[in-house]
Amino acid sequence: MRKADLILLFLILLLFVLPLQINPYWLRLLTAFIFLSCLSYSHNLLFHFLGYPAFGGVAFFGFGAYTFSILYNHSTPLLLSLLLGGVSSLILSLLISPILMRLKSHYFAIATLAFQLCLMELAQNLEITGGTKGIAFNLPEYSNLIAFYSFLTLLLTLLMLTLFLDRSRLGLTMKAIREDETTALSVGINAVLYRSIAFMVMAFFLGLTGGVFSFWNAYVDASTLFNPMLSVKTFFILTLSLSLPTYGPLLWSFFFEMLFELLWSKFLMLHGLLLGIAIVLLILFFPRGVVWKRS
Amino acid sequence: MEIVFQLLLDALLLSGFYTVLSVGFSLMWGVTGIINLAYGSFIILGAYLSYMIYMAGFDVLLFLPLIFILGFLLGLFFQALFVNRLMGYEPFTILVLTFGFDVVITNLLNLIFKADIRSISLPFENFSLFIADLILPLNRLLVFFFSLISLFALYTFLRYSWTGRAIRAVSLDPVGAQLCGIKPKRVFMISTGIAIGLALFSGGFYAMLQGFTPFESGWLTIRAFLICVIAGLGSVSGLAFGSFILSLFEVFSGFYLGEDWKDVVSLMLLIAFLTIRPRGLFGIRYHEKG
Amino acid sequence: MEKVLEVVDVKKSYGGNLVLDCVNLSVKRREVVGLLGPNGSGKTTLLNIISGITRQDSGALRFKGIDISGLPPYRRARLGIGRTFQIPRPFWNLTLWENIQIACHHAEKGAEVEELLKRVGLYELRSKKGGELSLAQRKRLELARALALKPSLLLLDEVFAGLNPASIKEIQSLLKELKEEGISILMVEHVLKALFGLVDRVVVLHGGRIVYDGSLEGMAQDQEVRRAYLGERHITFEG
Repeated sequence: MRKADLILLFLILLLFVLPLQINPYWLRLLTAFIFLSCLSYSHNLLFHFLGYPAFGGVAFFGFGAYTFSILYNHSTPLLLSLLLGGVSSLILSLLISPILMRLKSHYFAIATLAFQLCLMELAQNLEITGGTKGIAFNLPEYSNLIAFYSFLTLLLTLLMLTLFLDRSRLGLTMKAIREDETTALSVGINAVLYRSIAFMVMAFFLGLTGGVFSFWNAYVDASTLFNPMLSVKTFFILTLSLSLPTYGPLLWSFFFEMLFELLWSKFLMLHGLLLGIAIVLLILFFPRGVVWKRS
Repeated sequence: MEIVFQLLLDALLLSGFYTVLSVGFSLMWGVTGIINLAYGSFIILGAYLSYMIYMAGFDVLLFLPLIFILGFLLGLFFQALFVNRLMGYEPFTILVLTFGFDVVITNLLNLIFKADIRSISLPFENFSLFIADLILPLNRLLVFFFSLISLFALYTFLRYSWTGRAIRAVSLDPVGAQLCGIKPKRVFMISTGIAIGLALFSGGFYAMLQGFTPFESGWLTIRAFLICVIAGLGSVSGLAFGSFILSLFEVFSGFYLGEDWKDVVSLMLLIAFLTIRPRGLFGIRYHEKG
Repeated sequence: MEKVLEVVDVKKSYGGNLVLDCVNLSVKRREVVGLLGPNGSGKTTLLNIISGITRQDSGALRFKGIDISGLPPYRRARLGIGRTFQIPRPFWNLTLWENIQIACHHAEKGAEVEELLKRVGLYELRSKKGGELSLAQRKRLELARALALKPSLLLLDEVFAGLNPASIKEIQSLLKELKEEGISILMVEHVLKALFGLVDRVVVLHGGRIVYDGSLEGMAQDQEVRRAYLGERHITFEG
């Protein structure tokens, strides 16, 4: 374990204790930050390690969220609903993986986005998803705390997975595929298999995240769940984290949520515009991702 | 049975507009290898510009060429100042850039114009031609007519002018073109200029056909992308055919399945083509870049 | 002697261009075969088809008796077909050690990687990244990486191109060692003088067809070959 890991672990453990001390406003903010981190790390499993940007990964987030919502509203226990939310996304990814895995990275990116939008339209039209009205729940007390700890657990798992991959031979193989797939193939690496599995694992975690989000938000509908802005935020953070893929998403999610929380309350209208300008400026000046100074 | 003919006619009229819409996108993609995610927002920008001209009391149709020129200049700047800097990096980088621009332009327009639906009413809008029980709304007919003219102009330009040939040369073989003394960077600038010019230009048509808000850019980009995927890169006539296919699907699914399902069908069409025939039906060159 | 590789009636077109026209070729065990021909005659395409990166339009491929015609490239690599590329492609951001490590499927042990690096003389540079090497070093890395697969067949694409005489000699002796160890080699080459004393036979490809299949020495006298390479001009070899 490196020194940075220990610091990180300490910080996370701190987070476990924090919620009991702070007021609901800060709790909500912290939860939002951890939620965004979960989204980012999940997407990064496929993006950082294999070079495939799933612009429409949120499709699985939404799908898992709906699965959870429908099950939970029909008296399925919380934990089981969450788990099934993740599993259903996993199955969905398994179904579409043969189609999507053949595509090159940028076509893949757009195809997943199309898929996400497609699911959004479907969700708005079907009854089971509540149409445009969505689904609302009655939640027990302390649901905010439960949501916070669930997100935190997810984040911890994702973080450990990311750290593990970064240092293991498995991760090395994946990086080789990302660098040069043809060469990887000619040294006996089954690139499609690795990609498919990463895709499914990403979907699984996104599904779980979706379930927890539903619980936290107490309400889900198509435009919230399949909102392209979620994809924008996620990939904005991942772009910033290009050169620091393991700790980057955590740091940038934090910065992002805090900063935009301040801006949002003061400049509601400018929120989107500033985000767009930030994206353009950042990619112009840091096309390889923002470099961490200590190297 | 009657209704089928009407739907076919609607699709035909719509396809004229769709062709103009996708030609710019296809040009930019085919020459520079860039998939411009901000394309839709440029179209909307053109729509708002036309709207302002309309509100000021001028004849929009007269001003369309000016709008094209404005778009051309915008495109030149866009390519020179922003895109050219990022050409050497991974394709993802430029994708992010254009995506950022889409967000900026959309939100800028939203700030200025708010989210109310706007549209341009042409003086004869409520009139239609009636031919053998088929309805031809006059505004659609007009757009179709002007689309044809502009497409023909573009086609001639690409085919017979020196610049047009330079553009085609670069899209087919950048290295070879350089050996003939053509500067790719300059050609990129011109193609992007033409592409954005066309985007703004088709925005004018868009404003005439229906109401619009700043937030429709995503769908417009997707439609342009979809048509290019269906048609393949490299031929204007292929785009016309691809546009027709898309408009067919849209019109028929809109009628038989309901407006809500229209978009789902289009998206499934996109996914189908991306997986089964990414090269498109008429692709002269399967562009590996960008 | 059994045949390690059999290429049977392979055809390949790109667009309207017939790049390979009914190519038949075989390589025996412990045989080193040179694949020659003017530029554009389809040599690299043939290598790509054998290693599986490109799909042939028709025809069959057999490797050690197994039909590999439809197998994906990674399976062929695992079966024992290793290759190098015309322009070497190391994994730029991975260290040399890692470059070899990921090709080692049979054994996880570091000893294997160490041995391979030492064999090609790159052990001291093992912590350097793939992108930091010189051309000659990259070629050696590619060889080591191909050897990590424990191949029975090596496909080399212009391995001698751009090297100085000393490097050429080193690689020549390495290839001779590999031949002794039972590995077959099919090598595309333009540097003819490096092939003397190394190849058992040569195959010349021209316009997508095999126009000569025999000894290197006999090749210079063959009419077809002369016409393919240089019209009717007389060619001489040094050395």
